[in-house]
Amino acid sequence: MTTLPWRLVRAAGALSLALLAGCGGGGGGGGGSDAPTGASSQAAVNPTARCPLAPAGSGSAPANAGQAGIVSGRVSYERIPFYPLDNNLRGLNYNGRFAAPARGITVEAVAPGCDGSVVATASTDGDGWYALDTKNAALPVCVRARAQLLQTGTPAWNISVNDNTDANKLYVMADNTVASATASPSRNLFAASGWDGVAYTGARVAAPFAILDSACKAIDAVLDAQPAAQFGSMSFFWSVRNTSEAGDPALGKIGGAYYDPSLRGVYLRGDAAVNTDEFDEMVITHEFGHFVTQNFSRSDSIGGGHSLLDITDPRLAFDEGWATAFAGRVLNTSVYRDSDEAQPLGAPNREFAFDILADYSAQGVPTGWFAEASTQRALYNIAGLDGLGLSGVLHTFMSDAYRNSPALATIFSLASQLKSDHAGAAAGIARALDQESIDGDSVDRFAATENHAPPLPAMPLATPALPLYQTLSAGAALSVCSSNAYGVVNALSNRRYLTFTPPVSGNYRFAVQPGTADSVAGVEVLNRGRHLYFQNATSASPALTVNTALTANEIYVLGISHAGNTTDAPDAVTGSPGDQRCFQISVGSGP
Amino acid sequence: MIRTGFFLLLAALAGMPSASEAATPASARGAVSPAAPVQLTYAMPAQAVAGRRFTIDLSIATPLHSGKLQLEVAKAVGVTLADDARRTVDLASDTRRPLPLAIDVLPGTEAERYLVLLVSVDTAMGRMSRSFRVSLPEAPASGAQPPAPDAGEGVKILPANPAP
Repeated sequence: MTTLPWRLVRAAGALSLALLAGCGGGGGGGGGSDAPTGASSQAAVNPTARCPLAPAGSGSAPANAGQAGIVSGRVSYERIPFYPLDNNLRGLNYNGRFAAPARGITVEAVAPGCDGSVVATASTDGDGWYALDTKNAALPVCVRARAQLLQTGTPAWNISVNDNTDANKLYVMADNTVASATASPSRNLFAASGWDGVAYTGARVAAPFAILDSACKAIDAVLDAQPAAQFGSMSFFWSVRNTSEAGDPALGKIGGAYYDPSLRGVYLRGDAAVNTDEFDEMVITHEFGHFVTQNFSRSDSIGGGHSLLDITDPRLAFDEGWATAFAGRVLNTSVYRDSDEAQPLGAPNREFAFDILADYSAQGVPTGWFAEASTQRALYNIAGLDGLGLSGVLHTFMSDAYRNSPALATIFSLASQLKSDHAGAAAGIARALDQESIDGDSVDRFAATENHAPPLPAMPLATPALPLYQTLSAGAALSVCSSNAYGVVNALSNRRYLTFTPPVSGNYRFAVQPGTADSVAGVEVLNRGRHLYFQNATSASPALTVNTALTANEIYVLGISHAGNTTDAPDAVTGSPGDQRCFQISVGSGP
Repeated sequence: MIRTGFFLLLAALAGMPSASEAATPASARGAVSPAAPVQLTYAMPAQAVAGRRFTIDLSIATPLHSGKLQLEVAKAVGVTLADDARRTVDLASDTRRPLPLAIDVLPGTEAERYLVLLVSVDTAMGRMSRSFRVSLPEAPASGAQPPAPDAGEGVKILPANPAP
């Protein structure tokens, strides 16, 4: 894949690591990430450190405004809202744009001149006010606002908006007036949307600050559950060139909004001719939810494209459902809205929208542990239970017990841990699961009690999806079949899961032999969310042998697939819909 | 799926070796935002000579097996269409997946040449749409504004406006 210029983000990462040094930060991130994560257990927690969402005091200028050496003012940006839900019109209401405070962002004074060095730094409060102490009332400075939320200590975060089409530069809004505490001591900065009443013709300055405002809300939701949270650094990559065409992100061809765990970055669209994301709070917060998962919890998701109509691998169904439920609870809405600027001439604005709480099962939309529509609704409802809330869900989601579960990260593993952690809410959790045709009363992290399977497609050889895990024993062999009945890449039953618990510590050998024609083995070996092994064979050599050292009585999960069902590798054949590719798996002593 | 599929196609067009997903573990594909259940890839000649008609071959994937799929051109910049390019497919009777569709275009001389396509499908949740941009070869990716002056610190300076 394309290598991105990365000097800025790398620098931010170094800052983050410096912040974490000595604080004994939490455990490793999930999904194989080695990103800094978790809570500090040793450093003193600043209980008032929040991303400010409410005005400080009376919501007016800072108390020290007007004092010697103080340059102060207010930073705001132009937000373009959606039409209200009870309006017949859809998408963004450009005529309803308004000035909103830029909250929690970094403001700095530079001197000499507007391209000088930083002489003072501050953060805006919940109403956008800032006060810069230049220490010198006569010093001429320029004021600028960085598209960055920065908090050091405990908790800490460093969230920025960068231009992926311009060497990942950080967006900065600059005032072009030279000011001082004795001359122009009040400097208000306003980030315009660039909309002139008909089209975007001006610089889209508001976008980075609108994006950060959504992130600010999500940060505080996490702090509610973990006041010592160490977010580390992450970036939103936004550009007016970012569009719904895939290819090289450095050229703006990002395909759509997505989170890239390898970069700790969220890509967002800005192409005004097709789709813009900067005012789509649910899109932004959904993707930030994936960052929260990676940084504080664990994701085993396969990733890739998905929709509410798909029957997917339970890892994906859970991960995506979680991100949408998280966004809904952070923003206090059950309606997911993604504005879309593409419309035929004369047609009204559009949006892609759905209500998390709407039940379309009667219309045939999949319901169950394999369906994103179900997992998001269940988690949204669970996070709304009295005495639990999003904070309670996050507390479990970020806990060692959940993150280190030997089971895959699915609705089963989180729900069983939630019931264990929050006995008072257990009945409500069970009820929310039962409503989605997921066994809530006796939910088990390995889905041992689950008996709701998706309908088998009317295809030959379609294999039941349950049990979700089969047990592999030393000296015995199992046969499993990878199916494309529900689709490929990340669909249900592309991968079949086995558990293996070594009786003694030592070296083991897993042998995966094709049992049907054209079968090409794919094998994952996972331990508590970390990949010990991942490989696809080739059609020329379709079997795989995995030698690995294992620990006694530890539960390992194997994902067995036909490579043609899980990858785009041209070497493996997907086959006709309904085809299945079977394998014999055995385990014995290894070299 | 979005990124992988597109990348392979574009890589093939550019004569690059195909990306190997064999070493891609779970979670490394990126988590994409929810969208309508359609996906579009395309192929076209490496050159788009102004005034010379050519065909863009579209490939539309969807898990749906019933209802209508409609393709529309929401915007055409620097490109003239041979027809209105509106296509309607009955997903129950046309079982090909992905669906192959084609659009004939006549590129202009403009520096910026692209189409915005809108694909709509009837689903159990109602009608859903998704937009895609198709850039012609050797065209800029967007009509975006030129980069702002660089302050030389890895920052991109944008102008502040007076407070409203």
